[in-house]
Formats: sequence, structure tokens, C-alpha cells
Amino acid sequence: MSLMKKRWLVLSVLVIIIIAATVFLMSRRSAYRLAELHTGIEISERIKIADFQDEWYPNGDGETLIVFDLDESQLNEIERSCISQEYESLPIKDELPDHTIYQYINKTDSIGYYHFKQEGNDKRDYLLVVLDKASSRFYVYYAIY
Amino acid sequence: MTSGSNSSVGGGWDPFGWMNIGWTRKTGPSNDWIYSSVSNSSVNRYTGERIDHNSDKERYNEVSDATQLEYNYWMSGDILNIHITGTKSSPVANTTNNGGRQYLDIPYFEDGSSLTFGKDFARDLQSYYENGKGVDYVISKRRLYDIYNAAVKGNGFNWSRAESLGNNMYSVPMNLYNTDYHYSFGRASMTYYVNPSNGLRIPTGFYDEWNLDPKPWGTRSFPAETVTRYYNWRLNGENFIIRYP
Repeated sequence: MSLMKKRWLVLSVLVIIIIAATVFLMSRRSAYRLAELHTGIEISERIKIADFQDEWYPNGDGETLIVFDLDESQLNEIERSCISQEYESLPIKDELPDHTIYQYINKTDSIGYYHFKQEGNDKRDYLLVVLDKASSRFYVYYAIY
Repeated sequence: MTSGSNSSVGGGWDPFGWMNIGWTRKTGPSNDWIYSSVSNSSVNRYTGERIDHNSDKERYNEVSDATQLEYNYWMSGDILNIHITGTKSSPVANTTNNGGRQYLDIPYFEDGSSLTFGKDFARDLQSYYENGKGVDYVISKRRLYDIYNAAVKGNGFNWSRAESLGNNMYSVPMNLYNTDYHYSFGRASMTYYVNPSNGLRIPTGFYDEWNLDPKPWGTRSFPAETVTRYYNWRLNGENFIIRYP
């Protein structure tokens, strides 16, 4: 094999490795990274994950649901972030497109904060973030239909 | 016409609660017509499934209200399998409870609607995206029932998230990922009526928006965002709503 061919081979292998590594890194989806992406709140990896569902389909539809269990200091820290980001107080006053969150909290829960944001024109596409102080849980739910 | 030869015929109830008339394997010369018929006095309607060596599994949507179904096929290859099912359902929708799953017998509707499946239906929707100018796409009742059955079969309903709309009507999110419709829909919403006398569900409505809107990277999974952006780049069209009624 000529020197030129060897160089091309090495270069090709390097490019493939770089592309594969990029795809791998971009495909990594941790609950902490996603929660930070959606809320803008720094989520310590010491916080316990109670539930994490992240299902996406090839046509772009899907949903992410993350539930964190908080101890007292974590609760206080996230509460400060919610207040600084001007979250609304519970209970949820917005008309939600579906009842997903009410599998976890009661409609009447009134101790805590929430943030609701509709995405695009489809009213079923939305982000909902809830800090429920009664259960010391932090919920992040994002859905696209 | 050439009659071909049968290599196997079975029977029994299939998972849809329909009578399985049997698998018929036809072999014949290439590029010739295959003609055959099936009859069974216990059924009054037939649907079928065709598989050939050139394409994916494909249901054909021929429906007959006779006790005998006759069919013709143009043979482009060497083997054609035809799976015939029949049902005694009346023209009014019935629900069959089979193994804890509720399937609908799909009645023969007089509206002349025909069903395409799998990739063909997805291509119809893609074409509508490019040419429909954003006008709502209204599916037929047969399509509604077929989507319902597909979602039941693919465990696509999130029953725990069903929301009451009053008067025994409910709205439920669904995904069609494990069905023939996965090229066409990801998630969608269906409304249904629960018959208070027997608890059986009858779908009454369907809603989804067909769009290829990109989102910020990281919002969707990387493959989902990549595919969405690819088709957004490739196709030039307008978002539209798919609904029933």
C-alpha cells in the first residue's frame, strides 16, 4: 500500500471515529441534563431520580418525564430557583392539554410552584415543571405530538 | 386465468377475534392472473392480507358482504400468500373482547372509503403535506376504527391518562409506534365513548397535527431530531391537522 493510501485510510478512520463520538455524545440523555435544559435550573446529580421516561419516535413525536425526590436542602435550593424564575404558585391554574401530571399530584395541591409553557401551535405540545413541596418532588414533563 | 394451487389452508380465531379462514398459498406462472375463491357459511364478510415476495407485509382492503369471496391477483412473481379472515359482524360497530383486549369489528361502510396501509398511507400523508395547503385531512370512519384496533394490538393507549369529557366520553393519548401506522403517526389523541351497559369502548374521534417542526437540539432525542430536520429540509409543505370527524 502506498504512503498516500495509508494516509487516506488513517484520515478516514479518524473522521469516522470523530463522527461516531459526536453522535454518541449527542445521543446521551441523562435526566439531570434534560431537566437543566428544560428548566434552566441547575440540578445536582446528588438528587435522587424517582422516575425517568424519555421516549422519542422517528417522526419527532415523544415525551420526557422526570421525577426527582428531594431532601430538605435540595427542596429549598430548587424552591429559591423557582421563585427567582417567577414560577406560579400551585395549584395549577392553566388548562392543561392532558392529565399526565395528575397521576402524580392532586389538582388541589397548593404548596409549591409550577411553570407551564405551550410549544408551537399544537396545544398538546407543552412543558410543565412542578415543585410539589407536599411530596418533596420536582417534576419536569415535556411532550410533543 | 390460471387457478394456481393451494398449498395450505388453516382455520380458527385470530387475535382480532375474527374467524381465520386460512392461509392460501398460490403458486403459478409469473405475469399471469391468479383467480380463486373462498366460501364459509359461518361468516358474512371478509377481509384479507396479502404477502408477496417483493414487498412488505401488506393487508389488502377488499371487503365482501357475501358468503363467498372471489379474488383476482396479477402475479408479478412466483408466490402469493393470501390470508383471509371473515366476521359475522353487523354493519353497526361491535366490539370483541379478546384476551382482555377490546377490538372493533370493522363494519363495511357504504361510503366507498378504502384503506391503504403502512408506508403507502404514510406516503399519502406526505403528499398531503406537500400539496394539501394546510387544509385539515379528515380520515374515514373505517380508518378511525383501524387505527383504534392497531393501537389496541400495539399496546398504544395510555388508558391511565384518559380524561373524562362527560357523558361517558373520554379523551386518551396514544402512540402508534408498534403498529403499521408508525410511518404515519407517532403520538395522537383519540376520543371514545364507553357503553355504560357493557363497558366497551367505541372510538368517536381522532386528532393529530402532522408537522416537521425542528426543535432545539437536545429537546428530542438525537435520532428523532435528525430525522425530523432531514424531512423538514427535504419536503416543502404545510403543517396540517388529521382528524375525525
